[in-house]
Amino acid sequence: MSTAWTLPNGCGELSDLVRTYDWGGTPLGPIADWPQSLNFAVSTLLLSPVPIVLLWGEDGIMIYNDAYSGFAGGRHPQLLGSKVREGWPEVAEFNDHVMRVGLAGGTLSYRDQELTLNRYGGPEQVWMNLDYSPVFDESGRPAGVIAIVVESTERVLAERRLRESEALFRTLAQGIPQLVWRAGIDGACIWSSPQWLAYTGQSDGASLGWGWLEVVHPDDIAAAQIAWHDASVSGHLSYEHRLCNAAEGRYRWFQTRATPVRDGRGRIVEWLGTSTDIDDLHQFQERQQVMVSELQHRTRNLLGVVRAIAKQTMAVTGPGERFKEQFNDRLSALSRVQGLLSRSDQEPITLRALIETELAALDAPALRDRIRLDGPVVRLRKATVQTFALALHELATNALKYGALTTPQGRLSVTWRTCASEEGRRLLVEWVEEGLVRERQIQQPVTRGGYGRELIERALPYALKARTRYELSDTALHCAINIPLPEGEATGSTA
Amino acid sequence: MTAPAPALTGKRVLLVEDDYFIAVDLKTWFEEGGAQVLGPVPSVDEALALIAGTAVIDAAVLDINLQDELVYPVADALQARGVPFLFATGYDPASVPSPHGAVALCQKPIDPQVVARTLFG
Repeated sequence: MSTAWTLPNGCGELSDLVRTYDWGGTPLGPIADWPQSLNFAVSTLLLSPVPIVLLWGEDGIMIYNDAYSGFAGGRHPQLLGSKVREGWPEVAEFNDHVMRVGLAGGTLSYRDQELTLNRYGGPEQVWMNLDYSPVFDESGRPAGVIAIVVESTERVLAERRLRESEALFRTLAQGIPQLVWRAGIDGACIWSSPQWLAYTGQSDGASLGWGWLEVVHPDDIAAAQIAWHDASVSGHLSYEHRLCNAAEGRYRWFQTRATPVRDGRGRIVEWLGTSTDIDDLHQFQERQQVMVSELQHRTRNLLGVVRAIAKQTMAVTGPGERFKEQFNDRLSALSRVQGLLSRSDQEPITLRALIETELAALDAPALRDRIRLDGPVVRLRKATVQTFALALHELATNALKYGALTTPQGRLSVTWRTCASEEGRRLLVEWVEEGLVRERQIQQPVTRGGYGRELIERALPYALKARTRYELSDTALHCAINIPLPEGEATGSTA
Repeated sequence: MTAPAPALTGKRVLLVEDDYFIAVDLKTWFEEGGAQVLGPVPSVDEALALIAGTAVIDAAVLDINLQDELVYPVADALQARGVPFLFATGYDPASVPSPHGAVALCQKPIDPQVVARTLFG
């Protein structure tokens, strides 16, 4: 029977090796004496392109094909004809189990079985799909085990890298404050991050396709469509739009940017995008624009005021030292009120602050105990502050140079209160100087009063709709200012 | 050389300006030039009342921002009467919404000679 069988010829390296191997030195004995069952199994595996090894007999003598020799690496060709326990000592226990089960007639099957092999001089982690089934001899008893060994290491590692990369992407996409999404080449959403769902209140799935447009401000949809159209040409997507925030129930401004994902031929297959909340920035920019515009307005107006004051001062003093002195004083007063105005957003301007600023500028601290200020907290409208400050400046300067502050017995009292009248709320200010010296007034008949009186009697009524009274007697100055206050303006207790 | 300003003599010019100092300055200048000043007035209501009560107005200079209100109703009233006017403002022209687009706009501080040339030149 043995002579009838021949191994396949010219089928590869292993076919020749098996034929020429000295099997006489193994438990299998010379090839010519092999039983039909063994011959059949060996010729079948030698012809297979799939890596197969036959483990024959109690010791599992190894016979394998070309494909398996590739898997065996540096272990080939010593592996041929060796006992499996000795051929793969690093997985001896695993193979002992295989032999026990196989020779008992059982089968084993492993998917992506992880083993550590020593194929190239060092340990290496490998994954394999392993299928074991028994081979029966002529008497019907299991005489060996046939193993199909397909290494899956590359696929396992690739899948692991992919999972890691996906996890990384998800961590990034779900961890950053931006709303992250993926879209098809036309802008139809194929995935949106949890942030998108949380921000817009859309259910998972509602944002997909063109659902995301439902939370874009209606006025910005056209811009979005244009941006997507342009992106298909330029390969870059960037535009600003409003998105409705579910929590606040209002639209906020977003900057949306996306990068195309391309295939091997450079064609765009999808877009990976982020939408960043820039609403605070937008509001800040708008406020800044208003502030710059207001500042420019105030500056230009101020130049007009300075020119007018120069001209009006010159008309009284003529050129010379008196002009320089008075004009400088008035410029300083204007400068002080600009300082108050520039801080007025943080620190509303009160009547008391305005009066104290002017009195402090007189630079006469010794006079403080002869001055009385009394009144509640009254905030002044910004538009009225400049004219009011200039009038107070003239009153204060006159008091110091010609009025109550020139004599030891002189007293200045500034008191104010608010009241409701048929015309609405009003502010009543009384500027009273007592203990004046008549001689001084006679010496300065024109100057006492002068510009200050003009501002009280004409500028305040003109610019502030004030009603005023300016009464100068031999010993006292009584100046009353009655100004409308805007409705609902906050006033506090005495301060 | 700038061209001399056209004669203002006898012209009745309405001035609407909320700042007292600038208003006085403008008034003085127009009166020195021989014009008869109507106003100045600081608010829309006072300007409208003055227009309604004045038979002849030759021109007007309008400050756009009058404290908390805009001067445009005054501009409308003047336009309805065919009175030439110009705007004076501290705002940048680009930031001024102008329903009266063709009307000249002078930046503050305004130059009276430019105003005179624009209105009567």
